[in-house]
Amino acid sequence: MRAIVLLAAFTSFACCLMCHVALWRIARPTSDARALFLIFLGVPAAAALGFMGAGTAFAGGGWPQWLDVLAMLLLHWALSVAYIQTYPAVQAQSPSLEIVYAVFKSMPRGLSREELLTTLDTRQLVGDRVEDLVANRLIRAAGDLYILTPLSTLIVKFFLGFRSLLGLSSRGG
Amino acid sequence: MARGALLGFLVILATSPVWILLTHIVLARLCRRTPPQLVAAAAGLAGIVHPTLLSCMLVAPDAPSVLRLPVELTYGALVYACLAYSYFHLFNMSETARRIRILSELYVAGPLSAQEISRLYSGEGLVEARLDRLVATRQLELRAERYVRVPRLLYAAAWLTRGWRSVLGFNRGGASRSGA
Repeated sequence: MRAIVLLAAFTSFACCLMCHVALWRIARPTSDARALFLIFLGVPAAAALGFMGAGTAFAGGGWPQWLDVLAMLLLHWALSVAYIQTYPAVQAQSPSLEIVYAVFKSMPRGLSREELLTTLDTRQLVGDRVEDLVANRLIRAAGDLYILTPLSTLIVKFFLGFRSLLGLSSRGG
Repeated sequence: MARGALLGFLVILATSPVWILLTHIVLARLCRRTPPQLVAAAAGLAGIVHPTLLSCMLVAPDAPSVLRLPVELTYGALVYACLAYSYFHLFNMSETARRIRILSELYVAGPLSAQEISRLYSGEGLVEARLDRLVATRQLELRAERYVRVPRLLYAAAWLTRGWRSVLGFNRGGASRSGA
């Protein structure tokens, strides 16, 4: 493996990150999860397939070898998946991190449970996430009721199965 | 490194989350009294043993180990760290994500109104569950009915997420949303 594989993976990740920041600042997509998957996983995979195809078709023409492209894509995806997993804490203002921030700022006095409940807008904590689910087409409104979509049913079944494998109770939150 | 050995190395790395999952299944049953997030983090650390052994023994049994080559070692460490971090967050989603909890409530109860969702999963209950979890994992300390002592690393994470939120333009009053 050549060091250029590492460099190429970091460069492609940085390019995706810049596209993401630019798009979010200009016109943030309604379905941010779909947009993130497209920017960080879909487009680079299509580009890598193109490079692999060109490398196979025009061997010796200065194109990178397919295995190097695959190695680059694996590192790019690993970095991207790590970022995509971190993104919800940024987008949805993780309550745990908000608690930590509030308590740190209040030191050395600290905060009581009641003060923390006042600091965090508890009414919005769940309501905003329901709106996100609608925007990402994971639930749909039928009158004043919310209904799961086939994709979100699959997601719930995946997490229930995952927790069951670990011997944990069905619901976190 | 031979091309076959490199392909094997990539396959071992790409499948490393499976080893983390298997390690997690065992650890979760052995450490039932430990906070689940600590067990998941431990699985991420312990799960590195299998890919390392496989990389050393199976990929190139007669050649120098791939892990003695600096570029391969750096590459392997980066990919594994990212995948282990992602696995930890995937588990965290099942443990703490509000959206997954709302979806679970709808899955169990069927169609619900906004008021019914708030009754089953209240904002106050959510905050209290997080406070309990932060105390159980020793990220916060409860002293004389007041929450104190936050590790600097966790505060740095909170500060960074706030900063990145600004970079992405979330804090601008008129931030627009397109239909993409």
